[in-house]
Amino acid sequence: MGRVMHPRWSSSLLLALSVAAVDASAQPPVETAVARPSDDAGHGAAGSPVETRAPAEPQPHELDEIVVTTAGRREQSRTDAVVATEVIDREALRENGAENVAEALEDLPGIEIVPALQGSTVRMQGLDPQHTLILIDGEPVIGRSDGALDLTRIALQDVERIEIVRGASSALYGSAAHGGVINIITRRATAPLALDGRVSLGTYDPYALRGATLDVGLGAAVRHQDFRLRADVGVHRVGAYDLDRSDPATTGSEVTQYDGGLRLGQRVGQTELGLRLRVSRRDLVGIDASATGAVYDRRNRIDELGVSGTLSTEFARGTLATQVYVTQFRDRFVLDQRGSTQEDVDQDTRQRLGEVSSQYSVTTDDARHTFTLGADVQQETLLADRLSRKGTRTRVAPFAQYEWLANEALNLIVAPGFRVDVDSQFGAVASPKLALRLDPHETLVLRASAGRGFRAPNFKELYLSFENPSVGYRVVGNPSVRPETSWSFQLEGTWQPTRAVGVRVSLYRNQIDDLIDTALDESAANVVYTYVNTSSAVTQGSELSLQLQPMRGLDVQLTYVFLDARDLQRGRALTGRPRHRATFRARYSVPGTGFSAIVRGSVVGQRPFYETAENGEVERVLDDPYLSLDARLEQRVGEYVALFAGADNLAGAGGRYLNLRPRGFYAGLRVDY
Amino acid sequence: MHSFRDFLEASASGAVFLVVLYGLGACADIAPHDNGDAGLVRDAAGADASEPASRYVRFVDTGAGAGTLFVDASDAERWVYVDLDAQAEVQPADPADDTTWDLAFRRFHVASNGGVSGAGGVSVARVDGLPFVDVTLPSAASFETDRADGEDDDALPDYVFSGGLDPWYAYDVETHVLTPKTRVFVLRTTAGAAVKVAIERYYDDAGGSGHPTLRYARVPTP
Repeated sequence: MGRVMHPRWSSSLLLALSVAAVDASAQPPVETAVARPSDDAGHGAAGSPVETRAPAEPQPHELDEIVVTTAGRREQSRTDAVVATEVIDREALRENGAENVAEALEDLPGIEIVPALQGSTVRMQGLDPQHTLILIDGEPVIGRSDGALDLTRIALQDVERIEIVRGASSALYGSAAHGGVINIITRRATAPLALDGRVSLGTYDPYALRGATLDVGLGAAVRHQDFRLRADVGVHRVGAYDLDRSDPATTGSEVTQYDGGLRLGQRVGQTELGLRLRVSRRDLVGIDASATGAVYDRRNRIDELGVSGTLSTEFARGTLATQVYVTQFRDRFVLDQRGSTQEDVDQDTRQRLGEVSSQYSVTTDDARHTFTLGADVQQETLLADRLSRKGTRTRVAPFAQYEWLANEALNLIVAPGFRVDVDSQFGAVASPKLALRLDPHETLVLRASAGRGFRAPNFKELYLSFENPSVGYRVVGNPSVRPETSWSFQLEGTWQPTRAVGVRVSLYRNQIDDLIDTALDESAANVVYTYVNTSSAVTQGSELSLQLQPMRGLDVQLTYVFLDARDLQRGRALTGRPRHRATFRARYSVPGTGFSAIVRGSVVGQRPFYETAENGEVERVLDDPYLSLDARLEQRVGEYVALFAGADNLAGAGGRYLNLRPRGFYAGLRVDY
Repeated sequence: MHSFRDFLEASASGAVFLVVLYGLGACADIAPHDNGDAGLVRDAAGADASEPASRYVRFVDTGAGAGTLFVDASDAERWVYVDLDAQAEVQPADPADDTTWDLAFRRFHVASNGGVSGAGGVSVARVDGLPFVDVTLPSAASFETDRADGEDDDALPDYVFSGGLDPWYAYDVETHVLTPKTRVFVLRTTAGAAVKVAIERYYDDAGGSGHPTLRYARVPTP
């Protein structure tokens, strides 16, 4: 919908963005809904609306029209995808009030958001965080700490949608895609002028100001003929919290983050040029305490920068796309010991990744065959004080995927894919995959896939050189450690008998071999631990999800998740995984009032943990089941404004093995123009 | 093309905007500081020529040859040598051929000047399970000296104090904390005196490791 710029907006925001060359108010509104005559040669007289096309942009409210890119590394309708793709779209992100990617993913029943060394991370299908690949616009996000990527780092202000593909996806994406892929798609300008903003204030410790949270996001977008621009800025603050008052250490760090993003697009004929920039600075402040009585003031300063350029050309039946991406991550880690300088630490970690990707997708005239051919070339480096040397490696990875519509009546699609990663450090790894889809009835969709996954050893596993001086043990990397490999099987059925009822059943099994684990180096004279390909693990389970609209305005989703996750080497259940989990979500919007309410939560069953007792024996501890419960109310005021208020972790879950943010309340204001 | 120029101009101004934003964030440095604390004994002493000889050792004598000994052995490379007879730190030119020092400390390692460790003739007897005050001179047969490396996890000599399979401390594999065992060591010093010592702590008040605190007392000899 075209909008004429209103005078009240014209001064401050656009000036702040210093985009003097673009002034939407000087131009008549562009009707994006009508195809421009030059695009429509041969269809009636120029300019006459004889053959008006459907809107060029998908309508976010209609599920059927959602475009996804992750399943096949090309744009396709979500309902057409061979591999099931879950999507959290803009509307859902707004509804749930999520402030970062970790919070947004809490809404997906099959995904567990778990606390990490810094912030929160994701566990898919019971696999550790290092086995899920995280992408932004198809490009890998770097800066993992102990294998886990802190997803609270990625703000949502400039996010259009989040796509999730479960199961090994190394056949398209290479390393770290054992458990699946999460692809965060950034927003781009669609209307001539759009402004949006959000301010949210909250607290989870009403008696201490340090528990205050603040979340501010502002965005502006301009679209003028073939030119698109979108700019976003954000400020995020989360106070520290402490779940264990018996020691001076904090449980959760105080976080302050500033971030900004810029996305530009220009169409020239059949070619689309794009440029994307993201920067952020994140400060973490906390207190650590050691069992010896030492107390440390801890700080992390994390700076991130990502730049990518894309060039995409459409041909009659195909698309050629090339993407160049450079990203840098820096984490400065400081420990300041109280009362002494002996154990002060000031360490720097710098990681860099450069990638050039190019791919060509072509579909035959009868739409029965689609070929995708491409290659990724990647160079990564890591400089860290704890590494014995600078880590650097180069990888070239050609890939191919073929989608064949074998039977039109049953919509039977067969899609084999294959990728080879040739790496300067560990050599070649091949990742095949076969995906099938069948619609035996118009209400029923069946999907199955089998694929290979792998994860390249990280530089810490290769080159770490760490010594604990107080007791004299050392941990050293092993340059000859090999990539982990896995087989993954996924089976899924969805049944939608009416618009008001949807059922989804899925079964999966992942087996990872050559898992990298630490082990005592028997050949060394001193106590030395090193990394070896020693373990293997199996995760298998099922998910049953029910979606209902029992009455107008009410949406209900109920899910049960069963998980069997085993460490085959130690012959026991994997640490911290619940065997049973149930989630629920209900949203009610009172028709005609602009009021809506959401209640969501999960009941998580017992989780096993292992402790070494005084006598050296390993004991299993079963942590109690818990309930996590969130609620949120929203009232629309006028056309552009919404007021909201909510509460997180209402049941106050948390404990020794459960580092959850305490109960918290927030309220705020959202503007979408 | 009009709109393509817009694209370039917007790219440039957008980049400037983000650089400014980035610069705004680059304010306070986060390096660790002194907190006004003294830090290591040697840090406080600095390179002053008039600094006392025993920067790493402090004796607090309560009279009659008994008291408390504080050692800063936190440096992983350097041994700290202590003369119990003179109640002072010594810096022997050749520790292997020196008859002044009695005990040497490096992290949790404690060497005595005898056996494979030195030529001072120091021997040590271990007494377990007795309160410090009740320990008297053990029989001559129970005195040992530091030996060459035997059956244990390290490649260091088997010091009577800290080597072998039964060192002075208990090690917690979960927390990596060292806790002293209830054990008294009776030494025959380089001067031939009998002194009993017990390691009471391994950490200083700031929680720093490598800071053993020892209780000592003269033992009457017949």
